Amino acid sequence: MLISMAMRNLLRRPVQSLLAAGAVAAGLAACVWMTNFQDGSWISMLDDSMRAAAGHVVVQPVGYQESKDADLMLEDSGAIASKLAALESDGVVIRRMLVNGLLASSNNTVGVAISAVEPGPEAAVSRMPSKLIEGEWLPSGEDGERTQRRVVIGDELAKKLGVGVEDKVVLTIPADGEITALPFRVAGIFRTGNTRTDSFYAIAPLRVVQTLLPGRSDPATQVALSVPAIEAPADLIDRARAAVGTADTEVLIWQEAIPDAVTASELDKGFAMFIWAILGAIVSVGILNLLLMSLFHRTREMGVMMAVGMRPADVGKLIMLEGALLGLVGAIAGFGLGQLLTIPMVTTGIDLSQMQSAAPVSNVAIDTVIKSRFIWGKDLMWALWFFALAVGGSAWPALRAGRLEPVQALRHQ
Amino acid sequence: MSIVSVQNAARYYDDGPVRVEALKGVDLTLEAGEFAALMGPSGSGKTTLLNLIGGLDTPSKGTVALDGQDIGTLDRTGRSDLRRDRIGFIFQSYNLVPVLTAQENTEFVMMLQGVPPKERAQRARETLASVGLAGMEDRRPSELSGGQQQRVAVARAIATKPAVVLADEPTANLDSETKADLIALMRKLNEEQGVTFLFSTHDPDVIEAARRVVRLKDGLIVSDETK
Repeated sequence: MLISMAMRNLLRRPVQSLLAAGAVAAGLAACVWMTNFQDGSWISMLDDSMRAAAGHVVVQPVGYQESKDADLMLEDSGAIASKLAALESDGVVIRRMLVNGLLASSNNTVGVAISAVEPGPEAAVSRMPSKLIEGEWLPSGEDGERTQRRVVIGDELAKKLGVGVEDKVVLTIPADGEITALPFRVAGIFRTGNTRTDSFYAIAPLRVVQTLLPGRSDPATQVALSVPAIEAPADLIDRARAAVGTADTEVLIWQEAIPDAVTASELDKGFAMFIWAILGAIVSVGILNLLLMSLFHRTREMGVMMAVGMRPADVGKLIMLEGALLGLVGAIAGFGLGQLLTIPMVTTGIDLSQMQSAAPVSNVAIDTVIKSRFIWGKDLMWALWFFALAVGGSAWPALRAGRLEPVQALRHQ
Repeated sequence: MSIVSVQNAARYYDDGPVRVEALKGVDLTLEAGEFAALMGPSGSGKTTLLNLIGGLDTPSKGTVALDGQDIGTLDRTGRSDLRRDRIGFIFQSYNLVPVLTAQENTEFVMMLQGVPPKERAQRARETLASVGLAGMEDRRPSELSGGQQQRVAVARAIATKPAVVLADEPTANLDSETKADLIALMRKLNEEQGVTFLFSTHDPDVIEAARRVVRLKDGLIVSDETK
């Protein structure tokens, strides 16, 4: 009967009850939507970071993390790659050489960042092949020097150089105090949506670029290991350090290798927590207000119920029950609404290329279309939290109701 | 043993520096099966005495006992339980729970007592029938006349078979015909079922119907007559 009474009491003031439950629903829906979006973008960024900037474990020369000095190189990178590959049977090992240079066409010469990669393994982890808008990815076979001298460039860079697919460009890089150069043909043109990446970034085969550094033995800037799961095994970094760590190399987990991405994510999460705290406060105050008003209007009625024998604690429980019902209805509606609003974000996503152009994250060529994911566990936790907020918001009115003296309450008009 | 025993009970209210003495020390006993009225002008202490007997308030001085239980020694929950189990209340302005039907209002105190749903539903139906409201079980207070609402209040008060029913000006808001019906109903319940009634009233018809009339004035009992 108490539950029935609580429901009927809420229906006595349908507009106010609807507004209070609506506040719970709207707040929860916003949190669910934001969580699904934030976690979706976070996982996407994590995935992109794995693919484009590093792996779960990154091996690079000591000092490179701070200086980004292109002269710092790992020697015998192939041996390091083999040792890393032995750590995880289903992992992918990539090698990259990151150097700065000049790319020249018959029309123009432009300063560029060269990422020299192994086309095969790189294609397995990088999004770049999928970003090609013209031409093709770098050949991964052993077809000889002519076919190996291929380069993939961004569309903005192609415009600056005035070149297209199969046009010739010349890459010049400083190496050990000298200038060396090699001609390449444009294999493909990509567009990431990140203007700085598209205008400044070129990808060439590692083996070919290595020939521009004849004084070094199988050089590379980074050797990275990626595993299929988003989160790497906890002990992977320790095993990697044991396998390939030397005085000349630093072995980093990806968070250390891309601190900007981690910081951006933490800032994002911090801001979201701030918003969620405000939403939570609004919900609690909404419930509190409704129930206090309701208590004011029903003081005499409470007095009657107490007079005929209802215990003070049970009067409080009735009020709490009303708050809980509001919370339950709001939580169910908000959870459903949040999932409904998430659907287009899961299927279509949102294009953040403009934002990414303004604020690039390290040299991560991330997917500019960010999609949400259904994070059922967290969403359910939010629903429980909002339900708890509604119940919490009813605590003070319940306490006040329980403290009513029947004699005074019966005199209330 | 008396059902109600009031000994030298006084009730003071401090209003800033002023002390209001609503009840100045009264003695009263009530036996099972009585049909008694407290009468007196406004401010004489009728409602205060009724509240003390009903455990809605505690005396500033003296004792009030119900079935031998000193109400002043009970905490709030204890007094709630005492009201629930031993006292029936009828108020001046009906005071039914508006969201509950007549049936549910009658069941309400039994629900608080933990009476099983089937049993309390049966008892509530029988009680409503005994106060002439058979067929109106599903009506809410807003769908009942004033007299019918007061009958539901009577049904709620007697359904648990309390030691005493305390009625505070039960006829004040009723027209003459309805009032006469209600008085007759309460007399009938008193005579046929032995329900003990104590009214506070200044309605001559209730006083006429009462078998014992206790008069109060300025917080003191000035006469106690049994007809």
